[in-house]
Amino acid sequence: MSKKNNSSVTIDANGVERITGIEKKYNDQTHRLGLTWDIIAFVLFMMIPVSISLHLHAWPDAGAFGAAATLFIITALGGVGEDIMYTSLIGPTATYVSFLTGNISNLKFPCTASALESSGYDVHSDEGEVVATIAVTVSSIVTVLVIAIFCVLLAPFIPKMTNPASPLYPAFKQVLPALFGAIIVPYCVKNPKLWEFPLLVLVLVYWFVPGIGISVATFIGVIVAMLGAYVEYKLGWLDGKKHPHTKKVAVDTESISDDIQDDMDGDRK
Amino acid sequence: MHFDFSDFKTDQFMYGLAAIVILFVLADSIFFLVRAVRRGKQLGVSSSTMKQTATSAALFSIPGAIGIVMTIVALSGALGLVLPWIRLSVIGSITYEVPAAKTAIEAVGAPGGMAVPLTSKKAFATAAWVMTTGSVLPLVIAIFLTRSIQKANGRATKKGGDGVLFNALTGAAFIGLMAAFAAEAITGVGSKAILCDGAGVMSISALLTSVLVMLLLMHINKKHPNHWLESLSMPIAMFCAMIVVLILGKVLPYDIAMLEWRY
Repeated sequence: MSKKNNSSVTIDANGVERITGIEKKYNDQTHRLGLTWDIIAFVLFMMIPVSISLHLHAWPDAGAFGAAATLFIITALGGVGEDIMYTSLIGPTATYVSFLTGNISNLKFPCTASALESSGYDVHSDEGEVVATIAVTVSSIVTVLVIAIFCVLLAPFIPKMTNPASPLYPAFKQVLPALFGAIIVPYCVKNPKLWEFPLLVLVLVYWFVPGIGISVATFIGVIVAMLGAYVEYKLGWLDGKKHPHTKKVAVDTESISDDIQDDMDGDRK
Repeated sequence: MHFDFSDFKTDQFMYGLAAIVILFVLADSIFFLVRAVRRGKQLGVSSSTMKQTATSAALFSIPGAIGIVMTIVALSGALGLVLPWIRLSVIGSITYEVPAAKTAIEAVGAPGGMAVPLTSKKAFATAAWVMTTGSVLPLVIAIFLTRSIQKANGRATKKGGDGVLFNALTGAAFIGLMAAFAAEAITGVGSKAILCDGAGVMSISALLTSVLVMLLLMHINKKHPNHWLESLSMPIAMFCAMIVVLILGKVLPYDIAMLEWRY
């Protein structure tokens, strides 16, 4: 098995160039192929809304993108964090495939981590890279096929279920509270001191500003929550340690050096 | 099997788009799978290890995929089946897609938001644009950064107390985002023309039921860890909430069930 390698290009005992433990030649090819497929994916995915607009003769207003700016920023920052994290945890090939197929944190990453653990290979090795890639690609194939099969089977029934005349229709009207109630719980359990303040603020905002749109509300929610988290951190409510503001003090090192020298000269005398 | 192609959200064109996306994802995955298997044989990785990896990954993915289907069904009320199907099969998460769709629909001024089936083609197209644009941002980031990150060892440095702050700020950002939707169910205003789309008995019932069921499932999973339960907890909680709404609609007096304190 290859030795774990945490630096950039190195040369192993057999004279083979490696990067993070993976043979450089194979790694370079991986990046070329991964980039090619992801660029094609980007073009294809963007062609979907273009195609829909052309088909329906309906185009979005620029205002909709402005309204979603908060979401774009959070998603982009999340993407940077995920790329940094997952590249080192699941390898470059698995990262390229995962960022195309999605469901990384809930499906691809745990699937790959489990596969690497079972195989005994380190992700920073040629063999580990192979195992990680097999895990992610098979997961992607199975996921997309299962979804497709169920969707095709359910397709004839969905219009009847979601029709306003359907007895099930009232349930679909409450899908957002039902969905977000479930989604928010794990975050609140993991961060028990962070959810109360933003939720209270937003309840009051919705009460006193009836016409507020979701885009503004999400922006307020994110800012308030992060400010609240920062204050709680500073007060030591999050980790039990206070983190007072440390003031930088300018020190004249030259005069101090002179003072020390004078003291030493004085001692010698 | 009869498919209804009369709705623009689920016509043959949309199914054609879904087919293209699915075929592309399969092609990409199969390409890299074949490449990995060939590489594995070159390196001497045993066939049994590769087969076991594939089998485990396949079985591991099934409950998660079913969970995604349940979420697609829930979203199909407003957006039709196909757009959520496409969006949730590729890069993009439910925590982004749903807020994006709702933001887009509101920006266009479609009445009822996601509480009613979309009839406006403009609203539907706008939702597709916003959902796609934001969700491909991580893909763009992967294109530009993955190689550099690997060279830099792919590690984000967190020193001492900054790790606590970093995690708190990240968690807070997501909580703030989702709290906006939770708060809307408590005191948000709906449209006067549409029943039960604002905060009222039904929205609070759905929210509370979903929260309580999710807490219960998380508690059970903590005591008896189970991958299937963990993967399906969110959709189960969501569907329990939707079932409670249906029951309350039948059991409660009409005036109470349809009560909205914000309209």
